Amino acid sequence: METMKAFWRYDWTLNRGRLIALAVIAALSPLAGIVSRSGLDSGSALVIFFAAFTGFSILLFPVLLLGYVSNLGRTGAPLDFRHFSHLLPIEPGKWALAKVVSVIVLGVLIPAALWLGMSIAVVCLSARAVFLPWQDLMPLLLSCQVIVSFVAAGAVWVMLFESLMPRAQDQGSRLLTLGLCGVGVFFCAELLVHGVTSIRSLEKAVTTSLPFWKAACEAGLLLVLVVAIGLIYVRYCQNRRLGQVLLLALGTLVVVDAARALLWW
Amino acid sequence: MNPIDTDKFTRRFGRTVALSDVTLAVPEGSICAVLGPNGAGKTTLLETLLNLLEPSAGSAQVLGCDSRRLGPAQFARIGYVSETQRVDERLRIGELLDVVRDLYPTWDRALEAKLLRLFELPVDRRFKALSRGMRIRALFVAALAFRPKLLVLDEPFSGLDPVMRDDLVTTVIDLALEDGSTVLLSSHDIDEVERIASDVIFLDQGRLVLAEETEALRSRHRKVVARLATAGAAASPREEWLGFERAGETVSFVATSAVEETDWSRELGGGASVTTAPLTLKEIYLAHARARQGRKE
Repeated sequence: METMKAFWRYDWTLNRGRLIALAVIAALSPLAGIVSRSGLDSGSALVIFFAAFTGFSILLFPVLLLGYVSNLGRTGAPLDFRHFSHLLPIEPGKWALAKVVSVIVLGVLIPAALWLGMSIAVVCLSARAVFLPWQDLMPLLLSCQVIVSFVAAGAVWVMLFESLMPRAQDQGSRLLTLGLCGVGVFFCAELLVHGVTSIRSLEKAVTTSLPFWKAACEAGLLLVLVVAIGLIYVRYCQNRRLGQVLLLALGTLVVVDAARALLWW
Repeated sequence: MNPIDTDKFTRRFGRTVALSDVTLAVPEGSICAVLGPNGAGKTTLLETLLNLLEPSAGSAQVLGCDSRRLGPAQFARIGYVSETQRVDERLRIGELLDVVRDLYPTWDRALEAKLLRLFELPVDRRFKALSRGMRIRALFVAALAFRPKLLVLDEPFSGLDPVMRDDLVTTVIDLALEDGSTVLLSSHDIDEVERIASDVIFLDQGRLVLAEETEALRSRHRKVVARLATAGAAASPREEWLGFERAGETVSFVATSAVEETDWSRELGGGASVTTAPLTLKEIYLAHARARQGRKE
């Protein structure tokens, strides 16, 4: 039993971020369903964003779970023969058995219980059936704002995801973060500049041409935003090159946006 | 019974032979240094002894158990510190100790606290934020606090500053002497281990050059310089004379056996004036390594 206890202490220390994320996703999932229905009714961008954010979480659930199952830590303990655990006085197989128990309890049973509990609570409180959050969003995918909301929500999730997963194994997620974050921030800023806070106001905004000075202000504002975000990202990631690439990507978008505004004018 | 006995211990990586027919014994209570240049097979020897790598041929007994069958009972008595040992970088020192503490029945909390204090380690700091020296010291705490009967150290002091190295060496030796533990220590820095090793093992290209008590090794090796009475004397060097050089009437070499009993006048020709001088471990090692190199060429 000492082996199991030692492993669980070790596993929790290393993976509590992942496990808490799994539990939160499971708990939020039924809530997202009901919120997306409300989003349809009200047309609020914020509600749609929340629904999209939680919708993405359901896609991330298996990835997080897989990450947890396959990895004891950043050094990959099970396969790395130089990992310190290989010389601990533990019965052969006990370490792996403890991992299996952890996966079943922490990765499957607890999230499932949370999902069930929240579903019952939502049904009782709202008197509506629980459904998957993207069901009601499907007809709205044609709407630009929904796509933008999805992209922005995805970007936020990927950033969270990156902070949970081993950096060395996630070069791909970095690039994805970069792209999604750039696009998401750009469109969110775009929407804010145009005063778009709901689906209905979007249609009006995209068909309105801006005067030159307003287009220039918009481009300037975006540029400042981009620089600020880039600097924060450089600081946050301790990665100058990544920040430079981000600045370059977003800067290009600003230029394109400014050109578009000029053409409209 | 010796804590470590090997018999024709061999480890291959594909076609590369990292360890070849190594037969040796590490006496109980000894501080045994495994010496050799980079690539000599020191780390492979230690990792194979601890069953981190499987031997390709031969066998080894570690604490009375076949190295392939080492289990919890043996690992509870073996401490290991290596510069290549992996610990999750996100773990804090305190968390690592929390994880391993309950696994060792002999864990000494007072000793753990003493070592943490002695090494000035911040228990709440993560491994990724530790310097190399601090990291090694933290691993030493985890390896020493359960008072192991066998302590295996793989290049643990390389790259440390002299003060820290001296503190570590002193602590390890004191604890080993106090508990009667056996220490198997690999290093390519011979000066470093000269003052502490009671036994030495020389490896070169995976082969055992020699394994002997340090004092016995020192006493049977001498630097011999002789001025010959006649230019034609001492016609040929013997196999046990390493690095034989001759310049006119002066010859010099490293004698490797029965130095004290040798009648040098008779060996080198009557009338030769002979001086002998003791050698350091490093000089002995170099003499053997160069002789091996010379034989290959």
